[in-house]
Amino acid sequence: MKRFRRIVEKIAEGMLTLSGAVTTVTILLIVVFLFREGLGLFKSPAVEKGYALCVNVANPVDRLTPFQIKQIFDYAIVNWAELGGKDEAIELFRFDDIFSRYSDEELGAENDYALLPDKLGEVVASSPGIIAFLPEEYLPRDLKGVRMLRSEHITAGDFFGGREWIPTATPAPQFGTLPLLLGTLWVSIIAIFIALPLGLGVAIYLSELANEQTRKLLKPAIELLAGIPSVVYGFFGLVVLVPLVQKAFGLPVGETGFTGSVILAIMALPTIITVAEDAMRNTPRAMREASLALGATHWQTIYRVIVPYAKSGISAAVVLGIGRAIGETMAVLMVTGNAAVIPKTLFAPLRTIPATIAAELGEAPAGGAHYQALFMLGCILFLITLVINITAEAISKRQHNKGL
Amino acid sequence: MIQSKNIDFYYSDFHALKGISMEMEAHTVTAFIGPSGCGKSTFLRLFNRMNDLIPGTRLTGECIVDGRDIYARGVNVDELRKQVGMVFQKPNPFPKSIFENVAYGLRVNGVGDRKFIEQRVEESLAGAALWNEVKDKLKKSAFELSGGQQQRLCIARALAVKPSVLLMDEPASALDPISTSKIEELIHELKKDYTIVIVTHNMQQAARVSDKTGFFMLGDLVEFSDTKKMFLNPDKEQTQNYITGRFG
Ligand SMILES: Nc1ncnc2c1ncn2[C@@H]1O[C@H](COP(=O)(O)OP(=O)(O)OP(=O)(O)O)[C@@H](O)[C@H]1O
Ligand SMILES: [Mg+2]
Repeated sequence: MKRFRRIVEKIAEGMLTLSGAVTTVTILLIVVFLFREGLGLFKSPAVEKGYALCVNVANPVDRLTPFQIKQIFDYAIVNWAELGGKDEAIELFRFDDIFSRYSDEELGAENDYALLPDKLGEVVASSPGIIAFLPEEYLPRDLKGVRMLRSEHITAGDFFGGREWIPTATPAPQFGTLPLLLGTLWVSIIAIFIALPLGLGVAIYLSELANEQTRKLLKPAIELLAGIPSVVYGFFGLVVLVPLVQKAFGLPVGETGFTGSVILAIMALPTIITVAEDAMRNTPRAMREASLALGATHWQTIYRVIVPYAKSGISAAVVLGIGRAIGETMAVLMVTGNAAVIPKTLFAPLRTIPATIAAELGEAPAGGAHYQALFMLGCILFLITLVINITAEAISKRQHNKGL
Repeated sequence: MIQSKNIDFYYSDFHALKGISMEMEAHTVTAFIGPSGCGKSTFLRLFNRMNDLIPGTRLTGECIVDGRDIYARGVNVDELRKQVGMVFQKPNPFPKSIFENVAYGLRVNGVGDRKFIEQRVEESLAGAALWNEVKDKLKKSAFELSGGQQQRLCIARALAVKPSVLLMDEPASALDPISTSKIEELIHELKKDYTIVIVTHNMQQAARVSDKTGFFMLGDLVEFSDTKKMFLNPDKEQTQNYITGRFG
């Protein structure tokens, strides 16, 4: 009998170890997968897959960033001199333009357009200011007078420093995360600025001031709020908050970063309140009594003893709140207006990282640059959360070392 | 002088103290003894209104400190607690430095004068026979002290606000014999300036430190008289049994 029990215990122990190991490995694999997919972005060509950019052989410019390419095709840059080349007007040439210059016969239409590459070559060779955006399969075979721009990769600089996020731009999609990153930080920071004082206030009220009955009613209600799916908050935001913000501030649209912050603050509140309240209630009775017995008032006891004592719990509450804010997707997606521009004011539409991933992953072809860029955004989000958690850990450790 | 007149005290519907009347002279030490759960702590905590913190309690009768009913309308509880200090059973220093622990009572009273605070901290630590042991590490956390030192720190903390009464609820029960005797010596010293009420489970301790002793049982004050008489020749048989039982 005893032997049997020992075997059962051994098996249980083995199973626990195994499940722990499997879980850990799975999580690690997810992280590795995330980074592998994401880092693939920096091996992707800056120009759309299957296409290339050609210039006249006499043109000294031989590398363009994705942003410069976009500006050329937006007519924001019109002279090669702006790119360090000769003083020469830029002539844009898209593949389709060839059909307006040559007839079908001239291009060998009946023969699978066999003459098309040569004609393209002639066009590029004959105009010094040209930049041609061509499919790789029709590239001129005879490269006399034609120079292909070196196939650049998207760089970390383009990604982290880029000011525009336009994944569908042709010929060069723009993967600048700056607007998204700033959007995320803005919305989260303002959300915390709103939620923290409110949350702490309510937590102090609940743990110190409310009578037992109020507490018994309020606490479960607040805990319940934490469990409401974020789409519901988003819906509430859309229907109630958006028109409210629009009216209150006299804005053209109510879908703004500020609206997102308010929704996030509302969503983070239950977490902040519950965790901070628990921490404060866990302050030993002996500490309270010691303070009161010395003639301290209730308020003095709260801010001199209870809040400092609960500091690590309160910082945990804040971190959990921030964590929710930074990672939150749906609600923010619904109320911030989703304009991927660098936010100059909080009262304009903006867009966050999670919202971008959620909105775009479905339409980004797997393995493409867009897809990899979205994974890279995931990596950024992961790193931000990691930093926050490490900070929280450090704070609570320091508290403990002080003897709490 | 402290006085209780016909005190009845209830925790919700539990009748914890039954008609207690007694008087404690200024500059004396009064000890409360009795079996666990008989109401000693409850009675002690009446005098700085610590029981107010427990919801659902009820009190009838009068509690008089320096000629004033402390449960009367309009009494400032915070002021009362400055006048009536308390030392708890388990040392409960704040998670602050040794210095800040002692200075706490002054700070919450709005004292900001550094010189004054420093002087009072030294005085109080000396009064609690702790100054020599901690004078070089006032900035250190109070948690770095031993249990006995922590308890003396808590006494110093209580002394710093210059109360006139000191309530001590089993102040030495968590301590080793050497720390205990230090605290007992201290009580002897403090008697000169303070009215002291101490709860203890240790008969010898009650006999050593107190002038008068009260014996509680099941919420009743069975006997209250001079300590000498109480231990040599008590009036009640219950007292006799309790004391000898413990001694035996
Ligand atoms: N907060 C409370 N709520 C309800 N009943 C309480 C409470 N505190 C104490 N009591 C009850 O009141 C009675 C007296 O308690 P008290 O703590 O005064 O006893 P004591 O004499 O100090 O005992 P001990 O020697 O163990 O400290 C006990 O029966 C106890 O169960
Ligand atoms: Mg007790």
